Amino acid sequence: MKRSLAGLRAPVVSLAAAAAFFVLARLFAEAPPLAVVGGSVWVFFLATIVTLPLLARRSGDRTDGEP
Amino acid sequence: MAVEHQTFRISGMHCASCTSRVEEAIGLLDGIGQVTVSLEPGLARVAFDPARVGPARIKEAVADLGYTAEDKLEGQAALDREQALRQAETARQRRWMLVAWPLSMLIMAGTFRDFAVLRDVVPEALGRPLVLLLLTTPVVLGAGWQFFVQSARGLRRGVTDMNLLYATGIGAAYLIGVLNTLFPDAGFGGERAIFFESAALLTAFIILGKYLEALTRGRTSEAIRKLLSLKPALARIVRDGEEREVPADEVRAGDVVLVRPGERIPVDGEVLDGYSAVDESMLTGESFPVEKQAGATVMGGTLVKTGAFRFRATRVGSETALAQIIRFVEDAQASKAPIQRLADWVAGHFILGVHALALAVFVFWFLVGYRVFFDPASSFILSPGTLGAIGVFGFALLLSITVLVISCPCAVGMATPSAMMAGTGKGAQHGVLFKGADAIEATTKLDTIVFDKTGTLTRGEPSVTEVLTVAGIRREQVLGWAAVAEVASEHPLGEAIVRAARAEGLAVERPDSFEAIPGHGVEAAWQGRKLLLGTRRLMALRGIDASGEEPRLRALESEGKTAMLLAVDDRLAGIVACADTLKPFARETVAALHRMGLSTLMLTGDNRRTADAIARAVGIDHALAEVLPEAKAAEVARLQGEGRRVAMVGDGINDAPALAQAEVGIAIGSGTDVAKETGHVILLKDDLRDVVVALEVARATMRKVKQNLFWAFAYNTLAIPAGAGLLYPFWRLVVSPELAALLMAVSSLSVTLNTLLLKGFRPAFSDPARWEAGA
Repeated sequence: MKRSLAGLRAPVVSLAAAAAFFVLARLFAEAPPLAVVGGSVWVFFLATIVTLPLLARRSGDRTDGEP
Repeated sequence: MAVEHQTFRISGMHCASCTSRVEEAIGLLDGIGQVTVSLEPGLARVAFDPARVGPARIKEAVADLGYTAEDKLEGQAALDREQALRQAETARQRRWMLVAWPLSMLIMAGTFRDFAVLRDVVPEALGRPLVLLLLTTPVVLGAGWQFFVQSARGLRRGVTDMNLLYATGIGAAYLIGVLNTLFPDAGFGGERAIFFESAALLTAFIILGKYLEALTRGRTSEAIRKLLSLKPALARIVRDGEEREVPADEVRAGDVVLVRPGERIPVDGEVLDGYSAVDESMLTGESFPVEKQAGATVMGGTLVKTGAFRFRATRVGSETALAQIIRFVEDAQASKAPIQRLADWVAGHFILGVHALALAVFVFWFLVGYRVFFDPASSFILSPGTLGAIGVFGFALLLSITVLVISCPCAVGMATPSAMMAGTGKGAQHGVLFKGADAIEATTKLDTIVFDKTGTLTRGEPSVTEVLTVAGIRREQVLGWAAVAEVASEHPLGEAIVRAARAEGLAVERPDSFEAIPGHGVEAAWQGRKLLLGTRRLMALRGIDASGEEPRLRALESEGKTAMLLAVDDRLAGIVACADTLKPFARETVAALHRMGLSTLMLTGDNRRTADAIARAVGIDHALAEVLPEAKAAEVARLQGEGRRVAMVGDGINDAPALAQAEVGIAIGSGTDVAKETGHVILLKDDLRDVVVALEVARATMRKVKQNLFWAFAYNTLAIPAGAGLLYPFWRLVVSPELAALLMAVSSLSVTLNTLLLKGFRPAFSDPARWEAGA
């Protein structure tokens, strides 16, 4: 159970990053709405690649350390 | 804890991050000791406790990552399999190249058909986005599919490797092209942001890189292939009194084997009868054929030049010198130098960093960069046309993809292992075996070379150096009488005198009577004469006045020689001096080491006078005398305590503690029973010049490692900022993804080609001018 929750952390963090990008892009970028959506998807994708191994490794370390 | 060692062949690794993930996955298993995974030659060496973990569990852990672990095959079978795999990989990538390149050329022509001469040659239809989509799809989803499969497999297990960089770059370029083709008004940049040519050329270049890698991979393991090819397939043996031909693998210890000129010796053995000259250069690097007669040892794999002989097999199969050398080289090639661990760590963490950078680049250019800097008239480097109305999404995505492609750390990952493999192979070719890549690196950091004296710098057996006479007596008479007096003696000095007399053609007869006077000399009677040979004290005891010879005695002794007085019929006749003689090239070797900037030192159990004399003769900087064998290691430790990086050159067995204590233990002239050796570097020949060769090979190898790492890092340092759009605000130029792929392939290729230059290595002593100039 703990492991599956840990596995969800990467998409959640990435989703948060994509949402932040969406908001910032709507506020500051001169971009059509669909481009902003596309940009958010790309941010989500790259953020997942970055966070997935990092968080998986961290949660793996913790699980290994558990008695 | 019982520890077992096993080597596994790992398939599917592409870069340093793969090796670190495999290392990590195996290392996390319970009961695992040390793990070393090498990209080249794709091996994992694992030490494990068999009570807690077995090979099956280790293979499972590797399979979980998407790679395949198998038991490593030995010898020719391993090479055949490696060759078959390489050929299959080469054929696969060649097939995909035949798809990717022609289609990519068409896509390029279609994309740029509005420019210059292309307008007249390329049909208009080829430039239509839908046609480009149809042409790109087989390239990306056919030839490039391997990257998606491999990266998905890795990502599921948290592995980020180079394939992910490729897949993300190609996939994003293709996907945005599809979107802009099918929905041009959606706001993703429309027709100006169709990156089909990027997706296609990226795939084509990466596959070209993979094809070239498959072609050149394994070239560096040529040393092992050459060694394996030395073993003949058949052997002629005498069994049950009958001569028969059997496979060489079936020869048993004790079998009598026959060899003729032009044949290779199948196993190790001892010559029973016959006379021959055997070329051992392939194993020891010895350039001249070695004469063999009854009692001499022969090595499997060496070549009979002249004369036939019979020998008794003493070591067969995996026990032969050849098998040991092959194992040694394989182990060295599968090991890792400290510098490689650093490069692996960097490359392993690099890929995540690159994705993070691609993310940052996208966010910056989307939110800020495009608005502030974008100019529709700007263009790609080395590419026709302008970016035009590419749109904010298209522009930011383009730079983000370029960063992913341009940053591939494969050159960093290949830099060290490829050079180390070439270096260990080159060393083996010259009879210098490095026990591991760490030994090569340590050898380049040395500043002090410590030599053991006896058996290393000197032959360890005395020989006559001077025969001095008194008035009226000839030199031959003195040497002849001394030899007669000593012929029945078993003392090494006596044997040296007899040897010298016989070498000068003197007949050495046995005396009528002989008596050894322990600690003083010998007394003999021959043809009515009384012969007395020994120390000045012996002369004094017999009442013979030798005071007139005192100056000559002192002069000889100050040179470290043992001087013996000869009296005939109670009258002094002369002096015979003996000394341990220097090995060939001792002086030249020490001089070469000095020219290479190293200081030299000699350790010996002899007295100070002898030690100084030998040191002077050889040209060694310092001599430490009266050092007991067990104190040699302490002496090496003391030098290390002074901050020196020490190599100890000595006999691999007697000097084992000192060799182990030194940063680099160099075991010299140990023949080919390398398994017994303690040293980090083993010199198969009894040739001191090979100490210099070992240093040269190590320096040449590390030079290559450093050059490779420099170019690999320099490439990334320069290419990444350019790829990220750092040039854009100043010159309105961006690197296209396809140029990024070309640069990446060129950087990997340059590392491989630079390493192959090691093939041209020749020891300095093979070129007298270079040897004189200081290696």
